[in-house]
Amino acid sequence: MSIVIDQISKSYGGHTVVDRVSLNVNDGELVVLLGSSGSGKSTILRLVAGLILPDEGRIMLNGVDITHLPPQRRGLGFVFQNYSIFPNMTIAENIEFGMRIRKVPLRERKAHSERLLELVGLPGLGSRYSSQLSGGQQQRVALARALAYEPPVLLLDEPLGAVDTKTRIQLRQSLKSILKEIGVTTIMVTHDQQEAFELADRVAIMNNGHIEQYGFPGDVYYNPATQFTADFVGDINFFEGRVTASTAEECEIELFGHWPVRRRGSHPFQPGRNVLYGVRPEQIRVSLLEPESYENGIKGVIENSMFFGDVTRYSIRLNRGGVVDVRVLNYLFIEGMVMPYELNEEVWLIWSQGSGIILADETLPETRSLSPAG
Amino acid sequence: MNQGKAFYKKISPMLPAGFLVLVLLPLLLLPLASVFIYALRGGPGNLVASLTTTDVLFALRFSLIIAFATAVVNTVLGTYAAWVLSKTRFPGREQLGIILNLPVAIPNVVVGTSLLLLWGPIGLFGQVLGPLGIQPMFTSVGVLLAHVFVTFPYMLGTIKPVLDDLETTYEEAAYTMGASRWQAFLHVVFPALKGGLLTGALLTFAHSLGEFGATVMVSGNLRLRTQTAPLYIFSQFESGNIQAANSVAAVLAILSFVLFSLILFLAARTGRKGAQRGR
Repeated sequence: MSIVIDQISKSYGGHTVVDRVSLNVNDGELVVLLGSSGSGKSTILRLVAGLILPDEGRIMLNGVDITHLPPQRRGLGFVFQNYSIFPNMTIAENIEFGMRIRKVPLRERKAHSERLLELVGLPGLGSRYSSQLSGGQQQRVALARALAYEPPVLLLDEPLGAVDTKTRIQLRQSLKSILKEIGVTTIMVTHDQQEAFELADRVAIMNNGHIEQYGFPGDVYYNPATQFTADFVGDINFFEGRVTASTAEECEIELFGHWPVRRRGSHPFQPGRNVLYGVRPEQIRVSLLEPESYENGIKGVIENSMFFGDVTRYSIRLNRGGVVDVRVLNYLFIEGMVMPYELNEEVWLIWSQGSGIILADETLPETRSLSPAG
Repeated sequence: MNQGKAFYKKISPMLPAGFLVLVLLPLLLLPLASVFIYALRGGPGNLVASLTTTDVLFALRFSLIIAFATAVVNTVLGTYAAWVLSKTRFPGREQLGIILNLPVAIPNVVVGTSLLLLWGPIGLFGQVLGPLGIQPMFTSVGVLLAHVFVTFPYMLGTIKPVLDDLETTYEEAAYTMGASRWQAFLHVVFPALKGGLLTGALLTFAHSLGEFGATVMVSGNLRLRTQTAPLYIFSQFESGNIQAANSVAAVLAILSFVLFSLILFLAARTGRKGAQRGR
């Protein structure tokens, strides 16, 4: 079933937590609300569930206004961050709870809960209590319980937030396959960008109670609409620049007042316009050789290097100020494809003219360049 | 010399406990023992005879009824108060919490006096109720009022921490699954409170059973009407009937001991369950 969130707002004691947010979720789609804590994403989920009521706006479920319906009458599935598995009930009783309330016959309930336990990969664990399960298993039980009464929409509030990294990655994959198998419309909340990109059909970037950008993961990552989005969804290096030439096919930007770079593709910026130009660390390669004519290049000195296991991150100070972070695959060093760089060594930073993000100067930072977001 | 060292090594772990027993002996253990010694002084036959008088049977039965009624009233009131303080937000919530716990800090005699001043014949409410033929003081209702007042914080103090620990998401999870407020309470909140309710009710019962200060003020100590077991003990002591006083005191002591053991057992069981859930 589709969900339409239309201009909803919610304030607590004069502080606006959700500010006129609109969002369309298509039938069977998995939409992820991605944002830091306090961005309002969990509040939106609770508004959709009916656990709180909006100050203004509407929520439509398949064209029906459910804005003021109590949660009991919405019939949506909700998985809480802490799972909230009832400790006084067995796992099977937890899963059957929604069906029991709906007076589903006992035999039918039992059969369905067994099917669900199999679906989430926990067959035969129905007689246990939540205290006897690991965090990952509890997450699966919470999912099975929320799916038990076949809700039209599933709401997941940081469902993988309370498990360790390795389990989280495993659960992410099984969650995706379960949700795809069932095809239930889902809204999920997370602060984890990787999780969002892996699971989402579409992702909404939340900041200060409003949606900064809503789109497909690839679009949000490679064509962010704002500096916040660009920063939030991955590491990025930003430079101040000015558009010096502009055609339908390409744009030339001058960085630091004299260093020209090109960006292929159409864009709305006219010559003379101050802009922010951003490049992601993985798009840049380090070289001792000059760039080719079809590449962008800028000179700098290796200032710092940090080993991260799979990659080494180099901080390179540019000749005209500012520091750029670049990642080099350690595999390339081991195979001898690239020689490790020394501190204070002068290098070229090279990237494709098809890469790079251009944003309007309203988001101009105070410093000349920014370190990547953490 | 070596033998002396070995002996010291053997008894040294017991020294702190031995010292504790030595200190507590005249403070706790001997007074309790003396109750039983005096109760049995005239032999078991005498003890049975002094426990089967009309006055004693009334006092014991009245105490048990009042204690039971107090436990029932405070189970409802205390649970509701705990829920209000734990699950709702309003200005002055903390101050209200302090006020509701005041009966623990106020001397029981003062509680009795204050109840008399409010509900007594010359009290604020008493003056209004008197002409209507309603006079709660010096009746069993007055005794119940005093006991509810004095023991109120015990149920509150037992239930509120449980409710504080019970995250609201459990109830919310039940709501999203279609449960009404009542169903969420019945299936989710109540099972979590069960242990606390029983412990709180037993604590209230035990404290009510031994209550004296407030009772003596509001009951009038009227034999066969408002005389509780502690008041009977006091009256018998005053009239020099030590054996009769101690017979009832022994019964109260045994009852309290049984109740206390039950509370400890329940607390230990709740703790074990909690530990198992926390694993």
